[in-house]
Amino acid sequence: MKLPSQRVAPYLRALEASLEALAPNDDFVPLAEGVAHLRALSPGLGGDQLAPAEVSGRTGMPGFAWLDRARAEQVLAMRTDPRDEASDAELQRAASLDPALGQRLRGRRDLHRHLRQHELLPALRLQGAVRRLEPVDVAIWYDRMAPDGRWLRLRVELRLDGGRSPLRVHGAGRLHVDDTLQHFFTRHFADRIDALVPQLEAACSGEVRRVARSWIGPFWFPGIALPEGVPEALGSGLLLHASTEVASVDIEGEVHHDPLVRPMEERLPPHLGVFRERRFAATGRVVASTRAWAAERGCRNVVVSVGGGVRRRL
Amino acid sequence: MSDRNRRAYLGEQLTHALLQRRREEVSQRQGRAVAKVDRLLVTQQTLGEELGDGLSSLAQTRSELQTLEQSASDTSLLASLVRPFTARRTALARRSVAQGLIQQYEQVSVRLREATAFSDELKLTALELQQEVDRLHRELGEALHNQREAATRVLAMEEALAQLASDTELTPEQRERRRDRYTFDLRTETVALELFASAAEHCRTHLPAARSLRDTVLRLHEDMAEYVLGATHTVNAAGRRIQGLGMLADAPIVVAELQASLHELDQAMRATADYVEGSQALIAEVLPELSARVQAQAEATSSVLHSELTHLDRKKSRAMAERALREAAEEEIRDLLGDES
Repeated sequence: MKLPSQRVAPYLRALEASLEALAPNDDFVPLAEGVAHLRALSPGLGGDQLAPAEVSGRTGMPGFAWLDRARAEQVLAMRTDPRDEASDAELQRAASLDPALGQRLRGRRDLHRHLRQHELLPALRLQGAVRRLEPVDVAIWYDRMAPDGRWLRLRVELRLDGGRSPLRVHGAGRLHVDDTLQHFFTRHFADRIDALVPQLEAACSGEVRRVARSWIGPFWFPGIALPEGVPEALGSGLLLHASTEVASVDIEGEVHHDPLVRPMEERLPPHLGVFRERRFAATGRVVASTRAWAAERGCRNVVVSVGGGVRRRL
Repeated sequence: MSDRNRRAYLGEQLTHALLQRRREEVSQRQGRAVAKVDRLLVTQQTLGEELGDGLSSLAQTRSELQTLEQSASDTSLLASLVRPFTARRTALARRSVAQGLIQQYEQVSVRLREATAFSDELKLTALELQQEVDRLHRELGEALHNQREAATRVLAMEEALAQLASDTELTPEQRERRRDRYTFDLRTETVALELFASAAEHCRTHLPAARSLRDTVLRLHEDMAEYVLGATHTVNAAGRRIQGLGMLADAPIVVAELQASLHELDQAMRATADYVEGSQALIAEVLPELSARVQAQAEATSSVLHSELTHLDRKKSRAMAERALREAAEEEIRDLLGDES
């Protein structure tokens, strides 16, 4: 769905404030990248450079095409020498010839300055690092803008068994990650966690010590279609979700605190326990409504109240 | 003619040096503009070709997707026997196509952003060239006004000199003093008249080239803006569909939707081909003609001024003044008839 131009800035401010209120940890995509990306989309910075503002009608998150325009603009910004950027006098001259064009050129210059200084969320990214050499423990992160608009990080910690693997340790602890692994994650990122673990172990030739799949979103606000069974009160204000599911050797049994997902029977190896939770950032009365809904479903959830600055209607 | 009846000259006080400087400046500006248009044309063609390549890659990926789809739905005996051995490879290839699509989409998206920025640059250049056309018109208007005024003054001086001989009320000394004065004024105004005529001619000469440059860039901008608009629509539609791939990559409905969306790429690619062809024509025909015209004008007008200012005699100055007034009258008639700039 396309946001009307007057709703774009409030939407982005609200999402940014909610994101910062949630303060996601390293299991999630980096907060700084998310915030920088949202600021790049802001009409206050670049005008209507990156329009149209499209959000997913199902999750309320910014659409892929909208986010991608910022990344495409970043590629251009990085190619341009900052010394060649238009001066204030040149922009003023352009504005005197055509005010709209002058405004657009100024917006592009300001946007490029921002994009040169900040990392943005990637469409797809796979990174890895060695955590220990004896035995060989590695960690890998797969970040992605999911098809439904949510922002995903799949973080895996593995103990390699020395077999053939797309993960290879070089020299003093540098990890080489084969490209095929990104294809693997792109194929399997949404699989059930008890199906994902054996596939990962087979593909990487090792033992999964911890796997965390964490999502930023959905972002509910009036106008977004809520899933079946969710009280309408939860869509009457702003509500951003941050959910995570972790299977780890450090967890015993199964802990479930996700009111949106039903507990399921897992078929995980006995040394792995599962933990699921969903945290929320909400405004106004939605805070209480969310707590009540979660309690009704037998879950204990953190519901952070977002400051008054974003309570205005979107 | 008394000083009270004189109208003032417009603009800067025109001198030989100033006129020469104006000519040089206009030539330099036009030379720079031609070089810029040259660069813009090349950039435009490159961008068009790169966008075309990106769209072709997307379309190629679509056909790979179609092949996979066809093989997946092949119900022949041979296909059924082979499928268990190729299913994993097919699944891998199919998902790789999805990832490839995202990466290719990103490349096309960058090109499109580049084209959007370039479209703004073209617009700014067109506005600057229009400003040059406006400046030449303003200077032409001033020169014509001043030329008319100088011509009036020259004829008034001629008249005053003619009457001087028959004025019996003046003493011989007074007559001599006035003759000197009028002669000096006449020669001064004659030079001014010649300068203004030359300035007007200079503006008239450069206006067609300035207009051609402006029109060329305007055409580039119009083509690019129209193209970018169409391509943006197509690429955005493809982006939305491509986003849907991955989560439900195995669902035939997604592939069908994606193919429907990518079908639009064919149209975009045809538009790209036409567009690139159009820019090639501009480079091959328009630019050399523009360059030649600007060059010829610069050479033709460089040394005219000096020779025109020598050997001015009274007969010539009178004829020039009369011609200037006639031309001014004709110019006014053209203005009244709404002659197009």
